[in-house]
Amino acid sequence: MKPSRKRIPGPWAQAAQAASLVFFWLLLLGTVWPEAWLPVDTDFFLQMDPLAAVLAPLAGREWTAALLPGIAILALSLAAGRFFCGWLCPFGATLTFARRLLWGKAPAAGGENGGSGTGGAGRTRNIKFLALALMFGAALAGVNDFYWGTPIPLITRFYALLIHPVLLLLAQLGLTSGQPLFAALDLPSLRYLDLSARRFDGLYFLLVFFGLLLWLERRQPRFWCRCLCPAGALLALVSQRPLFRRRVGRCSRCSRCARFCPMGAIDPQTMQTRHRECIACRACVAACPTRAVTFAPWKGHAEIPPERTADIAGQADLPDDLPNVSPRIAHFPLLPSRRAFLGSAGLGLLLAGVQRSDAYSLLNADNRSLPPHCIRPPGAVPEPLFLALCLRCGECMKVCPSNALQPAWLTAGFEGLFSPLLAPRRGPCVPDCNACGQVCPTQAIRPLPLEEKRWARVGTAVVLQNTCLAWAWGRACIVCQEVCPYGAVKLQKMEGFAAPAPVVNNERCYGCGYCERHCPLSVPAIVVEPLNALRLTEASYRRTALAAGMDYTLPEDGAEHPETGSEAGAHGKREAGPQGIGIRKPGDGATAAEGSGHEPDAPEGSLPPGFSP
Amino acid sequence: MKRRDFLKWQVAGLGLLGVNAPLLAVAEKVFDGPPLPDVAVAKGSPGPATRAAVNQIGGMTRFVKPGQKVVIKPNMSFARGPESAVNTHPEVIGELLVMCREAGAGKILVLDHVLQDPELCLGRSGIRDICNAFQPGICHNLAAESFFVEADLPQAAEMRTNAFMRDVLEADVIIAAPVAKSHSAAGVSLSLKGQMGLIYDRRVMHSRYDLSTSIVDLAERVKPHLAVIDATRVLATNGPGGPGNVIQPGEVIASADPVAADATAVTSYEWYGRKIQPRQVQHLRLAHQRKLGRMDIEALVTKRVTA
Repeated sequence: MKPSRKRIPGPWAQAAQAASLVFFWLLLLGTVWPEAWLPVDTDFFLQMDPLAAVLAPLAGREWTAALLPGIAILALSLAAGRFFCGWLCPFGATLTFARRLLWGKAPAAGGENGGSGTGGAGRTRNIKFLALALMFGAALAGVNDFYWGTPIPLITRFYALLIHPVLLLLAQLGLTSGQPLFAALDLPSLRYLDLSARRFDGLYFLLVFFGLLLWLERRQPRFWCRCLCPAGALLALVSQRPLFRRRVGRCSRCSRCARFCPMGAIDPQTMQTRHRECIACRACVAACPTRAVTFAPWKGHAEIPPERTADIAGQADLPDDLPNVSPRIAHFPLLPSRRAFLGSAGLGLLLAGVQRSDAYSLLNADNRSLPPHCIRPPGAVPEPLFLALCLRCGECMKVCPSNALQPAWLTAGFEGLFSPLLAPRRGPCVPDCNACGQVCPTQAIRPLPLEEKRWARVGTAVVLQNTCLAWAWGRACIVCQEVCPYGAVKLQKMEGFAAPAPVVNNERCYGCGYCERHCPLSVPAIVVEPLNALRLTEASYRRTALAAGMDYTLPEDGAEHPETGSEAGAHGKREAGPQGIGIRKPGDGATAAEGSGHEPDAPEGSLPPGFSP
Repeated sequence: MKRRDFLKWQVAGLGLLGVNAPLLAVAEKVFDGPPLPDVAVAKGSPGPATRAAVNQIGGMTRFVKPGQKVVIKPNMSFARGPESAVNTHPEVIGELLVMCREAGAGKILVLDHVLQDPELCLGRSGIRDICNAFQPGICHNLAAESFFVEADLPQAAEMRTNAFMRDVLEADVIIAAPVAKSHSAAGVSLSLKGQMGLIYDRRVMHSRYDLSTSIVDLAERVKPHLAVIDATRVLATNGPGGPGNVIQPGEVIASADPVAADATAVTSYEWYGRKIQPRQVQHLRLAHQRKLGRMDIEALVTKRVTA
């Protein structure tokens, strides 16, 4: 055994971190529709979040198999400590590399930057434990407040919603300014490349949140990981004495390790290690001039005199050759007291109670009482469960091909902060796309196959007759009818109206929002509301929708459309021709959603729409 | 002969020449062959019918000179296949590309500003595939503002400005290659209406301006030099998006006059099961009045052939 030669030096962890971060970026970049080829699920990292893995099933009262890797990370931490934090977590990696990039090379530039053992004194470090207890308490009461602290969803959102759009903007700037050059060089693929801009609502939060963390990172390395991250706290709780932990042999007490420890897990005076703060990055292994540090599972080594090891599990006695140690420094932070833990958890329960008592909170919502713009992605589970399961990772928003999914501010109430909303004016829900459900790590949006998703109605379009060009001004505008992929907008000719006006056929309207997106008015006169949205936990959307009399067959399905012949003939509805779109049975077509429209019937001799006498 | 008489004869001869110049031009045409028809209608499968129709009106060399930049404007706004008749048949576009190359065209582009998801539109319409098979990188949906330049329409009645595709303004030849379909606001969507796909903001044509008037305004700037209307399938009802009644005339209409081409399509097929006159399509009537073309096709020469 020659551990001094076999040990893995510190740079290994950094290489792993870098690789992990790059892989994370690539996966995020590959989270596009139509599906790009990826070796693993796009939510590979999200599945590993230990906090989400524990609290999402707790809050949702529903076991989510996809989060099993997070449980595995937790179990592995029993043996290997917070290796996740030091080696894998893209959040920690981001902070580490941002620090290097902004403030120099050393991962932790020594004592003056807070690398010292007590950096992040006890109380500050305890924030993460108390936050964890609070979130646990809330989750116990079925409320998801943990999205404020789950690191992988947070960092996913940061890159997907803030960094990616800005990079796209820059790239597009380069492409646009390079257009003459590409034209001259005859490079049509670059000349016409259009990186459609991604835009997201409410990025100020991410900007301030991560700006603050960066500022804290400047003050102290990995401040988030040391003091704030509740997932780190969870891992710390199981990493009190991991099997593979930092062990020190022939220590010369130079305190180099303490200065290089990015987590401040080593007391510079006593050389004691607080294992729950150690992220196993092995910076200390590389830093140690006498190569006395190992992360071996066995206790000590033949070369290391047992009496010199400083394997600290509890409160080992201070070496008496350190007379100048102040008690403040020497006293390494303890865990918060049981009272503090219980108090925080109780506070979480109380918070959940308050949130549930809010008059407009959607935690109590049934699907019939949603606020007007609260249009959820297709296949979103019923609202209370949705709020419990949604991690706010932003994957659905990243993947949405029309950029239609946007993070909510207060549209869905305080509990719905940052959860995805369909914003049709920004982009419609594409009938052939089911990407949001496929990437959702917790199945808050169900991973529906396309033939199911097509029936997962998200809302209903409503014509605002006071502003509609056709209704209010008698103008021949048919854009909503033209763009509707479901043939749900009909044009109806009415007495006293110069032009046929649009009405929505409730049975065919999916709420996709093509109409709202393309309404030529500066303020759309046809808007989607979450009316009649289907929100199902397990049942088949198709069967449910069919049972409710809905019909979302698309033209390319070769559906029997009244207009295309047979059925129209069979029902003798040919004379209804021009306006009789989607009316399957006489009397069936006029629904509540049609406003004052009546059964379309073209009187003999009247012209088809668009023609003049 | 006196000198005076000689001069008289000379003057008379000159006068005769002057009077008969148009006649001479006709003679020249006769000498070159029979006069070209104003409109050609060819029956057949999409590709051959396209070629036959264009050949009837003088062939592609009449429109495209060697080295010229050509923009072809198809319909590919909808994420549906050719059978739906909401997009131009890809083989019509494919044949036009080949003909342009045969005529010696320099740069050829197939451009549109589509309605639905661009990937699906370009893919499902089949148009991108056929373009890429011809020459990769020529078929594009242009939506970003940077591809458009603001241009005035001084002759316009209402819409005096809009942003046009830079490539279209720079093109020597614009070929409109729409599919024939009904349109619930404009009556029909053919080679004039289809040019709405060449501008950045077409919303204003519905909201701020009168649609028919602004369609004609558009023609003041981007009137196609050649109109090839794909009537192999015609969406006779419920256009432009369908689904509607698709009839199968199996024809392609070509003309150097887009108004005449459109008028021919209007009269050749039944819309909503009835006969429609070109004057009943407001933008054709306006275009005719503004002398952008002729809708009085009964006064024009139409040649019908079978490919």
